[in-house]
Amino acid sequence: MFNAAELFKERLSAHVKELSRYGRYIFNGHMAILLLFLISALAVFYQQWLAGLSSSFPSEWIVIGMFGLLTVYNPLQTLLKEADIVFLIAAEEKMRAYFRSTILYNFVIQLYIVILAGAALGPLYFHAFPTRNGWVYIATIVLLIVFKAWNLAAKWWMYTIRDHSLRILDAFIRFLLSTSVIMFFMQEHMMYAAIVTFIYLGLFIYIYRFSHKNVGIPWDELIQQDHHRMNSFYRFANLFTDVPHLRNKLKQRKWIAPLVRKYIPYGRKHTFSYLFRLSFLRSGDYASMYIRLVIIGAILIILVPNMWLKGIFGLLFIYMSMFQLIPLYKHHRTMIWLDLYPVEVVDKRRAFQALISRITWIQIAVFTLTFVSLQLFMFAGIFLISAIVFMYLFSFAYMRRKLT
Amino acid sequence: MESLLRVDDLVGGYTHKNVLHGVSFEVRHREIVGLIGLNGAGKSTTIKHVIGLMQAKQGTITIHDDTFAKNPTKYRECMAYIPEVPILYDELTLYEHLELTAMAYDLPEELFKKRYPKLLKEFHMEKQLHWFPVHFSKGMRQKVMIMCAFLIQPDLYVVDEPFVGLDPLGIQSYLQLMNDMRDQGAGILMSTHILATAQQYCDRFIIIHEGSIRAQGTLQELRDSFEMKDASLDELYIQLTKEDSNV
Repeated sequence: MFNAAELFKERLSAHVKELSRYGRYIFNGHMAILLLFLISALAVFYQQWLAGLSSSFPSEWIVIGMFGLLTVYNPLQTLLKEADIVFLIAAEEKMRAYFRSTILYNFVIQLYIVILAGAALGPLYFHAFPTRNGWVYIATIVLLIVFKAWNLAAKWWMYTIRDHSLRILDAFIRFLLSTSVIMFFMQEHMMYAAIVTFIYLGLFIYIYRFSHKNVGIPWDELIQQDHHRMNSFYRFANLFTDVPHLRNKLKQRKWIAPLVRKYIPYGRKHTFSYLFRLSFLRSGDYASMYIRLVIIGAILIILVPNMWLKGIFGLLFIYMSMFQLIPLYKHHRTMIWLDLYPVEVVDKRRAFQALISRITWIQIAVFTLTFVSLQLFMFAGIFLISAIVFMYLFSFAYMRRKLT
Repeated sequence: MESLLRVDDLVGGYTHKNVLHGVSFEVRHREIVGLIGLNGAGKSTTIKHVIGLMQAKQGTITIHDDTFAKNPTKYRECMAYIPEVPILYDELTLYEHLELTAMAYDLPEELFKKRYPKLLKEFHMEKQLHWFPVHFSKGMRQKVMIMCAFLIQPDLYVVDEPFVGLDPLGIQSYLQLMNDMRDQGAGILMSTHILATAQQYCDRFIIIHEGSIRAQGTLQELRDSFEMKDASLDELYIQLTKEDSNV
């Protein structure tokens, strides 16, 4: 006998177990310390920024905009598995209870974000309305939660409609209406707030009726969505530890990839350069992660107040991007072609190290130029030399051992 | 005539289990040899040993008198492999698969530029030149494998069940090219279950059963040894498995 409630319990506990498994790695590693450091630094900056805020700053509108976005930001994770489309599709009617539970689960998870945002935006709110009682702010947050719940329900109903442009239109209209209600409420135009709420509810009922004409759960779409969400979690976890089943999404890079390909000379010697460079560019995360690390590193170099700390951050980010690229060497380990090509193994290692040093050079150049733009000329030179020394030490002492 | 591929008394298989018990055969220039056997008979294991993915526990395999251990690069260079299940790089387009293969096998660039458009045309894949494997059907993936093999035009082709998933035109093109390569002097070792096609195209057959060679030779030689005049390869094969269960 199929039991949807039981299935949900199983899926949820498996999901929580999976999250906590990687959570342990995330909160243990050296990256966690870095993250903590970053968050506290941001908090300090935020406080300083708030203290110096002029009275003409439109803090009211920022709070309204953020709250409005929060009402419609409702990612839905259904905890479905790929095989469900074969095995559970027959039990679709009995799955209603399951989906109700997943929606509730998502809503509860989202409350955390609402509370965090509420705490973070509080100072801005009281900057705009310094005379108000704290209960008024809490009432606004409750209103936000109510609209968030409605929007979540509406989003779920809209899933039965396969026309994406219609869904986007619907989400946009709901965003405008929810934001307007919050705006009128904050500005104490209660009459208007009530009117717009009625309009919203009219739309809400219409969506309910309209979507219930179509039955059928869009399994494929829900599964794919879950897959994407889990993948982004795995990608994040992959910064801290090795995630084995991270399935990479292919990025075509229609502009840059053919350009890179053109610059690789033809010939047997360059076989592995060809393969590694294109894999670096197109396979899921290598390139995007590298670019992210370069940009975040440069921003930190600009923001961090202490000169030596800037340098340490620079080296740290060079270390991180080199370290994250090591798995690229084994990216094609399941391909028998690599064992069949009449190319020497030494060439493969050389090609890989050449690629790594090439992209690390770019990163070093960006960071050094960042120092130059801060007019720390002397320090830029020191950084450049130590970064180059670090790169060679890492690539010959550490990486070489990893590649054999 | 000088033999291209020679397998001598090959004993091999996995760590704790031998699959092949002393297999000997050869593939000469200008011939297509069919490797015939039931599922689990040892065809794929034989092929894995020939392409150098598995090492013999006993016996030798030589291509042009070179063993894999002696000169792996030269050994691999003479050979193209078409796997049973297509294996493609997710990150590379069809064109890039061809170019990478050409580079790895040291094909001169002019020759690569000359050969690949003809292959694309032959297999009706011109439109897909810049597609990625995620958008390929099973048959298209198989065509990529076949094109890569015929692009480098080696002396020896090792082909594992090429027909599955190919459309009739694809099969026809493949057989045509295989014949052309044979006529130009290449040797082809092809494993297949499609016996009617094998009978029509192969010059000789190796029938492998439970890790040993039960019979080999031309169709006429097989008929003689089974004393079945005018029998087809199908009939011979079925007769052989019957005999086996009587023993």
